[in-house]
Amino acid sequence: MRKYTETQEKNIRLERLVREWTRSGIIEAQQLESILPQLRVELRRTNLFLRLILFAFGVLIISASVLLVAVIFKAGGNMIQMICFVSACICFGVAEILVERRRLYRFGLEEAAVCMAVVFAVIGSFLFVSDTINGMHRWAPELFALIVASVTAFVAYLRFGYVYAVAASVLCIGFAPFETDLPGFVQRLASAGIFAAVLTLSRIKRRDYEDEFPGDEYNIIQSLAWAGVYAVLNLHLIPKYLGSSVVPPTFYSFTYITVWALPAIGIALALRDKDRTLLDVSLAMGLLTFISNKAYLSAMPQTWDPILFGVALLTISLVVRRWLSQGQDGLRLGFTASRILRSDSRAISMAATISGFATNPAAAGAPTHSEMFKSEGGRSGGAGATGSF
Amino acid sequence: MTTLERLNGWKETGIISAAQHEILRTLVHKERFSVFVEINAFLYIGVLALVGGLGWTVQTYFNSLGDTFILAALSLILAACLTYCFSKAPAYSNLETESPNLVLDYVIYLACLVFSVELSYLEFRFEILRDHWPNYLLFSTATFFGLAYRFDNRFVLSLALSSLAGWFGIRVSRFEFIKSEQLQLAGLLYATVVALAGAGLFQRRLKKHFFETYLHVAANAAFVALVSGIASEQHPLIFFAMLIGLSGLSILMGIRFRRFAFVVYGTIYGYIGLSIELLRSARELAPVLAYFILTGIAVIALIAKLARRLGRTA
Repeated sequence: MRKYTETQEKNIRLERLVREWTRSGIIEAQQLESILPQLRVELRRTNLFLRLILFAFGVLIISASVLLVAVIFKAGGNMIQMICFVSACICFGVAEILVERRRLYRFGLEEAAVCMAVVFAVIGSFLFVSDTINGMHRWAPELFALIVASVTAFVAYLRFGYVYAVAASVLCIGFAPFETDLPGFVQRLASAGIFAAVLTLSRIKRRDYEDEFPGDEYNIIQSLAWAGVYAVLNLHLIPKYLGSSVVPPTFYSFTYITVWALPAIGIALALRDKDRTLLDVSLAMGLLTFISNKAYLSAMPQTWDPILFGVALLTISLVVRRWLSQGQDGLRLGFTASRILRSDSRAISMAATISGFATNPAAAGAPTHSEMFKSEGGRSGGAGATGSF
Repeated sequence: MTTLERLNGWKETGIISAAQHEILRTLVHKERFSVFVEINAFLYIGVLALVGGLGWTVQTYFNSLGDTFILAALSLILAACLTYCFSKAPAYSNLETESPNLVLDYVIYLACLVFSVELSYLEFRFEILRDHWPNYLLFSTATFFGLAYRFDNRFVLSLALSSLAGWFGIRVSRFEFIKSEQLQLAGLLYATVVALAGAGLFQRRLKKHFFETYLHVAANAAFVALVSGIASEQHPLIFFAMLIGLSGLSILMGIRFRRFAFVVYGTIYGYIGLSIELLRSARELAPVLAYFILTGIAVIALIAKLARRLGRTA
């Protein structure tokens, strides 16, 4: 089914690891040169930046071509649907040819073709079921489109191995219940059930491979499904998109317990298996639980809540770091707070560069004096001291 | 064949030593698992939450807390942070220096953010500079630059560069497209100052590893200003000529020094500017679409050729 062989996928992943080990100073450049020929695959690849450009322009060309056909033929109604379905088939065929003949692997171009095939299939399906017969829709268009998106994205994953395709597939099928007429809490339960099923399946599949290909892919699917279960059961996380948080009291209490239990279970499992993706997802879920706790309890937010939250995070980080670093060789139970690979520093360095522009109030521009002192009805009453700064 | 089997093979054939094999085996087997990134993320979010909460509390309760208490509390935090950093940090070096511990980077970042809150509060309550308020940004910029270089901290360097952008009047955090001609010129001036400052410091071998940060910020500021200049229809040809020149330079230098983010900037911003200029008078949809198809193919052909020349490792 898959266009790339298991050996190719394994060699590519191992090559990536070996390069990282070299950058981190664990192995020498000469050793890398001796290893690389053993991992050579006859596939054409490129770096992330050129891949992004090729993907972006691939999407641009395909979209413009299909639109041009629609404009030239003055397409409307059924013809647009047909153009979408035909375009989806052509895009898929183009991707097949690019991989088969040009031996492209994560080159951007073939990815653009696959992604646009999925997009056109979804648009075509949506338009098809949106058609009314005697004033009635054939079927719920949004629900149908989500199911088609999930199926086609999953086919794209099976054929080309794009993890983002399977992520899209899981999200589309997971959120499909929200397009039904079921009561709000049943929608959430159904959605959580779908994510839980995906989670179970991916965990079972992962057991056979651990971190070796395709275990790494199942790992990502598992973490995404875990996050999905949490997202739909936390009633205060995205209520605007997932419907009202007004649900039966029993269900409300159930979700409150769940949003505390899920991160805890996730962290425990991740630490046991030393599973980084699941660990990061569970930690993020834990933070979101803390943030949404007051809303859950209908308690009034206080200005010092972020201070306590910040102090708690800093304390946890410092205690964990200190505890780990006091172990033998800075290691306890196989965990260390030290950096091992250079990629860790690179990620932080990149985040640091962006952070100043995202968090510095000054970056919003110097406010004028009148802007600065405009009254916003501060709560103190004396001396006209009501304003903001 | 698993990764471990490969490692064993490389050890047997003498490609890697027994010691290297042991290190790599522990990594692959996850006998040594680093939570470095996770701890860093918690420290970062913790600092942001703490400072956000401080700002919110001060803003809400300044009247009941009183100026003396607020300024004393903020000054105390600032002094404590700076004392810690100066006592723990290694001696200054022009070269890249690793922090002695994870915490130092975030304590100095906390100090800088608290400093910003305190300055804002001072002006809010005592109106010292009034209409010259932006000069605080210049003062913050100078302080942050000093601290960024002293402690080799990219978080603080980024704060310094964003404060400088604020002083130039560029609203970066709201993702607003620069609108007026004055702001476009301010954007270009800012980009020039940042690029020249970065180049000057690089030439003097002062923290050479910061140079790329300067270039990323300068390139994005300049490109956004130029593209918005073309879109604004006031002297579009001047902006267009400058954009084409800068795009070409960015792509060439990006390829030469293997910094491919600059190839992306040059290609994408250049293409957007070119398209705005060429399609300005287009009225029909079909020629516009044909333009996107033809130019898109041309770009892909060039990039694919470049990708083939560079191979995967680039």
